[in-house]
Amino acid sequence: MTNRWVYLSPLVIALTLGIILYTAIGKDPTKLETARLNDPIPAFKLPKLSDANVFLTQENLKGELTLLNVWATWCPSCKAEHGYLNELSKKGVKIIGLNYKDERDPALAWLEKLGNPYEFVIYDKHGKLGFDLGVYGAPETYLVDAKGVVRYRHVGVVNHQVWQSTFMPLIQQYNLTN
Amino acid sequence: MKKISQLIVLILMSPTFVSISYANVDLYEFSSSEYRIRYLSLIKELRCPKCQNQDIADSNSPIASDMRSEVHRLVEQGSSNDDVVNFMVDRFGEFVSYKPRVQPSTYLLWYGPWALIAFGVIIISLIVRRRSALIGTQEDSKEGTHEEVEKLLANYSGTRDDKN
Repeated sequence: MTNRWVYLSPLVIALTLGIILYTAIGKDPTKLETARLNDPIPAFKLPKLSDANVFLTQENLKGELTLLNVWATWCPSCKAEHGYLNELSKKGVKIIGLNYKDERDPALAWLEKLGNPYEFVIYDKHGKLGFDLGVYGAPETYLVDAKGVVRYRHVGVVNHQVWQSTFMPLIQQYNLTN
Repeated sequence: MKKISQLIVLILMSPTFVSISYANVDLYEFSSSEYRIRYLSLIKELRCPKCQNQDIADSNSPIASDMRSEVHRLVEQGSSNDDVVNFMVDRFGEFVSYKPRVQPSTYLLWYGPWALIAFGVIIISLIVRRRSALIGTQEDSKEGTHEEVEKLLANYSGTRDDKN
């Protein structure tokens, strides 16, 4: 009996390892964990995109469930998702923009031309807040709860499918708990 | 064939290739050579979140360049190596460290190979011990057979002598 166990155990171990490794197949390796998940938005003090004299802080993100959308004019995927953000904002979703490593004038021109879905836009010229959030590629969209805590981060374009399958269930969950 | 290899050598020697390998030399100044050495080792230990499988020393993506500048700032501020790595892990996750911290989620990574080696050694030693035990008993029985053979041989030679 022990004899059989000795000879079978390498097989058992290989199978266990195989199953563990198999579950990782098909995972998108470019999607990283969100280090800031369930942490408050890092402290910041940055000007408003539309008015260099007005400064915004993490306090401006508190109050209700909000989307924080990281975008820039140099980012083609941001253009791709912009139309859908406009749609969401028309439906009454509160979206705050984080203009990331961009120039003020082209960014304002972009909003003029493509429409402005944002309640206000934080102008993060040097990517300071982006860095503290762990932004590694625009567009990124954060779900921030009423207390200013990061509840979810989506890297890449937000479209109808992403909205329905990932954001809606979370929004319902956090609206209920708040 | 020779022409192709000459072409390859030419391509590798061309200025575009050479310049790529020098693309990421930042011109940071350090107040001490110890800081410079620590900076250089840290940027090799941190992984670029955007261009995965490259360290931030090796990558010219904007995020890697931002990270290098933060490493420089932190080192100059007097932060320890652990502080710098923790600073990056807080923002970008465990992924950015090529030397993951030892914690429950990385136990498998750190101790898994050792556990497998230990397990293999145990299995092999069990098998070897069993084999040698088996061979031992076989040798005992060999002694017996040896005597028998001698006896048979003796008988045989006896009969042969008779014939002669």
